[in-house]
Amino acid sequence: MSFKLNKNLARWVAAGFFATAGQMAFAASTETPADTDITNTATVSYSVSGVAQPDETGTRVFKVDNKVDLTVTGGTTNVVANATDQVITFTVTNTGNETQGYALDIEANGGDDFDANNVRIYVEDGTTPGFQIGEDTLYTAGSGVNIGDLDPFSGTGGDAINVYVVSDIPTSGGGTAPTDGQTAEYNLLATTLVAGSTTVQGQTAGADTFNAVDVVFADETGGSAGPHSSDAVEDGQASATGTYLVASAQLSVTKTSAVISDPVNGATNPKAIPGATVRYTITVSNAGGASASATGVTLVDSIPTNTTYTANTITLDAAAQTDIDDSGVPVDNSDFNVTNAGAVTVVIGTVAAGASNVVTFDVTID
Amino acid sequence: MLKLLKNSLLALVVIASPVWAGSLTLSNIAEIEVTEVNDQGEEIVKRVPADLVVPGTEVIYTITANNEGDMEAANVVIANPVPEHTVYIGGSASSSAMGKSTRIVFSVDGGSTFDVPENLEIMDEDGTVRLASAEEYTHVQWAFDFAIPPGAKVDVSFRVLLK
Repeated sequence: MSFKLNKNLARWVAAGFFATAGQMAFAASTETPADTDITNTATVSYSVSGVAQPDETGTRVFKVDNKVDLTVTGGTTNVVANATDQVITFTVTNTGNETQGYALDIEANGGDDFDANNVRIYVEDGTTPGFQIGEDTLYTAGSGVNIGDLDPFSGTGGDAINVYVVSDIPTSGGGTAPTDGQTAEYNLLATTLVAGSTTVQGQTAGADTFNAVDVVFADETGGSAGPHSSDAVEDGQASATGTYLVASAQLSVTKTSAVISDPVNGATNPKAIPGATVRYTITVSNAGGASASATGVTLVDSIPTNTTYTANTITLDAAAQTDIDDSGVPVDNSDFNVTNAGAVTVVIGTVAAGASNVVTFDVTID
Repeated sequence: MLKLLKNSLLALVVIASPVWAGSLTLSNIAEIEVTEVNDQGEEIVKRVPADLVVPGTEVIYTITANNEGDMEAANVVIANPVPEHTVYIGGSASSSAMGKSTRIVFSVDGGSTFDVPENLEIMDEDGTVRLASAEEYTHVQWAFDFAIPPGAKVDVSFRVLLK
């Protein structure tokens, strides 16, 4: 192998470098824009009777047509019953080679467990990324209105837009109250429009028009159509399912007591006589099958009548706690008779699914 | 007077000979393949003119050199830059050259130098030298080791992918 170093190498290397830098800076489509002329020129050199003849060239030009292609993606949002304005984020992306507009529609997916209430669509208005109810644009599903043109070559995120499906989750206590692990699913459909209009983009029927920009639907080619009932392959439409997943904690609390000493027997076979010390053990558990952590868990336990709390006996997961209210001090957020009169208060915090926390304290029998 | 006429006739022959003695013409067509189902239900791949072309389409170029002169054309070399917005598809360059030898070579430096794929190297920005891949080819060239007789023609072909 030999490497020919020549003056063109520097130019070639430099061109390669800038191409790489460009790809890093922009996520824009690298497809050839519609209406581009592709020109091919072949040149032949030859000689006749040892005499070089003038070169001949042959040129062929064709025009790149409009490849209509788009994708829609949807996410899953964990919700709890009775929550309002819960957001599923969808993204509509123009993956074709021409600027297009888009109209939206939505339907409930048949295979889910419950329906959300007050289902609305908002389109990102670009002022502040993410959903803001007072800022993003409310869209009427099925209205045919253009949500705004997307340019696949804009390179600054202009080729995609976030669409938010915003709903209220049914209240617990109603007949449709969702339970843990159940889902409500929605199919968002995007239909390609002619840029700057509400005209649905059509496909060129019949033969190609030579040297004109024809339209080819290339969405979902070679795959399967999206979940929306109106979506088919190569129809200028794409759809995706977004899911509300009911994910809640399943907390349980158990409490046991044991006499650990009495004034007569000491710690050996103690009996519950006046003056005896009784230890309460409270276990807070989040069921292993729960789909969410419990947060902000605080245990409050009143000292039983005819007993007296034994000072400085609160423990959390075997770690001694103080009786004073030192909330804000790291680690120890327990107290007796401060946050709640006559009661033990222990701030446990987060209990993960499948996890338990154990609180103990001692009292003496009056 | 007669001699003068004879001389001018000779001169005419000399001037005219390059024009009609060996004139190669070049045609260039672009096609795409479409799959159709025939009456027997079989899928057949048909070539149609490359009019309906969108990104991702494979385009087949066929260049025909036709000797319309009355003397054979020697040292025939057809060169074709890979069109802008397209990439060359590796292994697609071919020649119909009547069973005779055609040397197909490529360039990765804008047509300054040509070589066979095993010898085409590119230096990356970090200085490492590697074998060029087919999509980095800038030109395709066919060099014929035979002369094209009067009235004969050769086809060469290559495929590109529209970006």
